[in-house]
Amino acid sequence: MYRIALPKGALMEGSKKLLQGLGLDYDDQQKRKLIMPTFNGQAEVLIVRPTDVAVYVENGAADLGFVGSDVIEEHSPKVLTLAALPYGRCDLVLATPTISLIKDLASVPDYCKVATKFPNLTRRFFRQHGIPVEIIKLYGSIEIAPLLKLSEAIVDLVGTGRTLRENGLHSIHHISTHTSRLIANRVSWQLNHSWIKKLIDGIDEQTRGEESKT
Amino acid sequence: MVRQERFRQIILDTFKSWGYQPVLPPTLESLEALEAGRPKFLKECFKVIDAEGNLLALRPDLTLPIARLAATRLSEVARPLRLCYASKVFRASPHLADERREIYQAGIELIGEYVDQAGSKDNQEDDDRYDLIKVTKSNLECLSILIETLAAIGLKDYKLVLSHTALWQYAGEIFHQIEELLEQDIASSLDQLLMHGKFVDYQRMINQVEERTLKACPEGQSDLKNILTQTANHPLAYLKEACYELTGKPVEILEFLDQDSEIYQELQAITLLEEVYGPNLFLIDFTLRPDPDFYTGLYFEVVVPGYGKSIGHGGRYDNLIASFGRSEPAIGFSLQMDSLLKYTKPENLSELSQMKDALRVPFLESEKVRLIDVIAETRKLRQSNRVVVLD
Repeated sequence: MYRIALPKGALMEGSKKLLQGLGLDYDDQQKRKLIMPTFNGQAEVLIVRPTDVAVYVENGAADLGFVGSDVIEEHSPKVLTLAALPYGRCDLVLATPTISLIKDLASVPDYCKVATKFPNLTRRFFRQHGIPVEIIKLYGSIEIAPLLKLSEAIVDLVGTGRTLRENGLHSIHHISTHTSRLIANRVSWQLNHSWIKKLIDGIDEQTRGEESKT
Repeated sequence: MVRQERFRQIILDTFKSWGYQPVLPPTLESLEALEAGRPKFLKECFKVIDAEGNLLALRPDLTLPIARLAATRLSEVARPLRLCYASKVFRASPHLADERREIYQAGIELIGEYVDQAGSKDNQEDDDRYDLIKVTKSNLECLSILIETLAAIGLKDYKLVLSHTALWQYAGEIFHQIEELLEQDIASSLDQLLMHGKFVDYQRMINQVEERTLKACPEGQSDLKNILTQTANHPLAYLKEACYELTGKPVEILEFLDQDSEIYQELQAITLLEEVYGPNLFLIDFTLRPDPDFYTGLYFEVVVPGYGKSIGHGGRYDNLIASFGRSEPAIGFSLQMDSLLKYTKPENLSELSQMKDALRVPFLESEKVRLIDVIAETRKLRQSNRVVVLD
């Protein structure tokens, strides 16, 4: 039986819809259950934290996973990135409080304190721009860090920008754009090549469908 | 531990049945030897300082010390050298979370050329053919031993995944042609994306490259334009499909290759082993990248369902022995004993089978028999190859 890891949270709904389109719908009525078989009996679906999706796939505990490209670039897991998925688009931005004197990249002071869930991407970005910063790694609710003076700026993923606005923050620099990816364990890809290939073709069709709608 | 030792015996017995001699190279290795043989190990090895302040390494691999042995102390011994081992190697930076720093490996090395058979080399024209035969002979010997070893320890649903450095060289040449045409550094990025399995980014870049190549081709460079766009033997098409279409059963993948090419003939010859050892043994995965500083041709990995990484690997390394001063071809493989143990179910292995045949003798003192007499009597039995246990 194949195993597919899905991320809890923002990408969950899109992932479920995509699986439905591929004939891999599963029963998610029991909210506390974390492993669910698909109705066609072909696969099992695991629900795990987004960053853990890559860990499960890398170690072969899951054959496939759906995960944001932000997680892949942050953690560089040894997995195959097989397809771009037509949902979950968001932006990694540098944001500060609207009242802050830091209004753009040029006004970021040396050793500025930056709170983020993505220390590697943040370090890479500031290094590219030659700005030394102090990075504070947080695991969630990054937006409150500047309000509590824990940091002067944040680097975080933004979908609509609403959370930023509601917490008195605004984006001052766009760092990168991210979407979801289908990832696979290399050995699973070798052993189940034709099955996975069929899924990729199905995903391509859905992606083209989404594009023609917009 | 008992199972591990039993495994080791079964594996070494299989190696010996092909005429391979067990060797135990030194645990400490000089850093210069590592640097000469496989520089990437410099980062991965444990460094040790001796009393004089010299830097040494705990051996990160057994192939290197055996290669050096072959080039130095065993240089006068008849070829091919058939050596095998089952012992531990040490890595300071494990790649995956569950990879250990102390790795128990068993494997073989087949070093040097087969003895020339009379009449096998008639003239210069047959040289290429002759080389292919030599390569094929050692490929077949090495893979047969691997298959027989896995059968001996009861591993069933595994696959041998084949790759080859030639395919990567070919891709690299095309990358460089495009690079020269576009005057942009893309070869290494394309190479890296493909190597790290970033198929999505790779395809995006290839699509951009295709657009720009078609625009950038001035009239005078029509040769290159032809290379890049002609429909027959279409390298860009090959590059575009490179990630998705180069993994699968040998029959599906080999049809992409030119039947006259050496790589086709080399791989085709290997798949014939299925006639001997049963069907569906092999897969081909050309996205699997052999370390280019080390491997010089065939590369293979042993995979099993549900394990997520390979449990053994090997290939040709025709340049390694030369770095220790003697130029000769070589091929070998190593198996990760810990992974094999985890994956093989205990019932697959006739564990302690020796103990079942053991003769059990009461170890008792009586008026007629002293303890020392029991020792003396059972010694004779052991000398005639019986297993005798004292109760």
